[in-house]
Amino acid sequence: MANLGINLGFLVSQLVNFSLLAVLLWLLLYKPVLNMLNQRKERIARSMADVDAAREAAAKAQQEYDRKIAEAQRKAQEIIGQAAQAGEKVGAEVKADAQRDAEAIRQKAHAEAAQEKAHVLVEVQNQIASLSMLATERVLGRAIDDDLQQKLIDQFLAELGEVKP
Amino acid sequence: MLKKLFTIRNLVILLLVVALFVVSGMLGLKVPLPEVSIAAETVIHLGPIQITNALLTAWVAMILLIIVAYFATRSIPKDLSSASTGDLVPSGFQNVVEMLIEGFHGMVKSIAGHWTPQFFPIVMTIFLFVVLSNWLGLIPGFGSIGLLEPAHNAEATSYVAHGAILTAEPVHDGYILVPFFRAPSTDLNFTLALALVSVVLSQYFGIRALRLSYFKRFFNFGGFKDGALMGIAELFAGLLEIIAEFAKIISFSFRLFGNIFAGEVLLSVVAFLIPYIVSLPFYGLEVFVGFIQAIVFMMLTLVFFASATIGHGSEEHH
Repeated sequence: MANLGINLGFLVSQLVNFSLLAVLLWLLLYKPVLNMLNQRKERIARSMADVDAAREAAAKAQQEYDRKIAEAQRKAQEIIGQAAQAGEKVGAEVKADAQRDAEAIRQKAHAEAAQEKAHVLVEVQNQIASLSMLATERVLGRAIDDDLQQKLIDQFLAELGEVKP
Repeated sequence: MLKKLFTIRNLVILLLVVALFVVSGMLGLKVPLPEVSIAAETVIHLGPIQITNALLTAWVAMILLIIVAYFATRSIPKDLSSASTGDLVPSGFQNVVEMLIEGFHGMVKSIAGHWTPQFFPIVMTIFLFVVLSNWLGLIPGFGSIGLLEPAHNAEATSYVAHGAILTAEPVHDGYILVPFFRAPSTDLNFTLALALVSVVLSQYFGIRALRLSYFKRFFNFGGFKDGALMGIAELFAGLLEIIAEFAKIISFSFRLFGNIFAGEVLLSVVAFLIPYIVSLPFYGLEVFVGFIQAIVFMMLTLVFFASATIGHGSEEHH
């Protein structure tokens, strides 16, 4: 053993060296490094989870946004449709009113014209009658009695009526 | 290919090498055949306490490892849970050490499973300590700078000293070199201590895992259920197991010692035969051997620990 250099004192001192080194390295190297590796792993996992959650939330928000946009578009379309319909309806009403009014005015004008015509006709008849009376009186030089006058007028009118229906 | 070899730089190197041989031949500089001493030599005498060069180098290795540990963990915040994420970003040297520890931790975990927290500090320390002590011996100056001491016995070759330099002229009452530093792995005390740590701790872990049934591995009377022959066979197997445990101590310590010691002897013999250049490939080989031996020591320890904590193979069949 001595030839091999094996010596209890040195053996024990090497044992102590190793134990001391193992303890020191455990405290100074392995523990802090492994702890930090764990911590880093944890944090990476956590931030990855956060990223996933954020991405999911963003996707959800996008979906919501798309849905709202579509909804708004649909509503706008609806409102425009409604407005157009209402406009058309109002237009039609206005048109119908106008037509009706125009018709009424026309009718009224027509009636008035007819009335006027009749009135004028009567007046003209009367004037013609009195004028013709006057003319007859002048021609005859005398007044004609009412009976005759009437008879003449009637005859005249009858002729007139025959001439002009 | 050939053209690329004949560059000016390479020619200069070649000339320098030739000049080196010529000059050393002219000056008669020869490397003495080193004193091959299996035992580590005492370099410091402190009264009754003697300190060998291997022990001194083991302390150097320890101090180096602690310095490494300090610089690798310097920027790790003390309170991890409240540290900002930016403080956890590793840089430079810390990265290298982290990679090393994480790699080995993963490997230990794949073998040791839930025993990793107990096994890891031991096997990792074995690896770091052994690989560093193997490599320290390769540093120039280790094994070649030391005290010149008169030869202890007349039969041993000793050399004439030229001032502080030992020449290659052998004489009978000359001096021998006692290097200040010697790779701890080339001292049996170191390798034996590690082997004892490995084997004793594997018994400890076995008992801790299996309680008293751990001893069934060595004293198995269960075989008598299947007849006297089986019983004797099982007892004999147990005896072999006991021998195997002691053999482990010897194989562990002499494997590491033999590989590294032989490597250093090889390097000095090559340097003695041809002082320059030729030892370079052997240096590369020794760096590799030093690493492999550290890995082997660590892995075997790990495997013995792991196999001690799981029941004996035949145990599970019954």
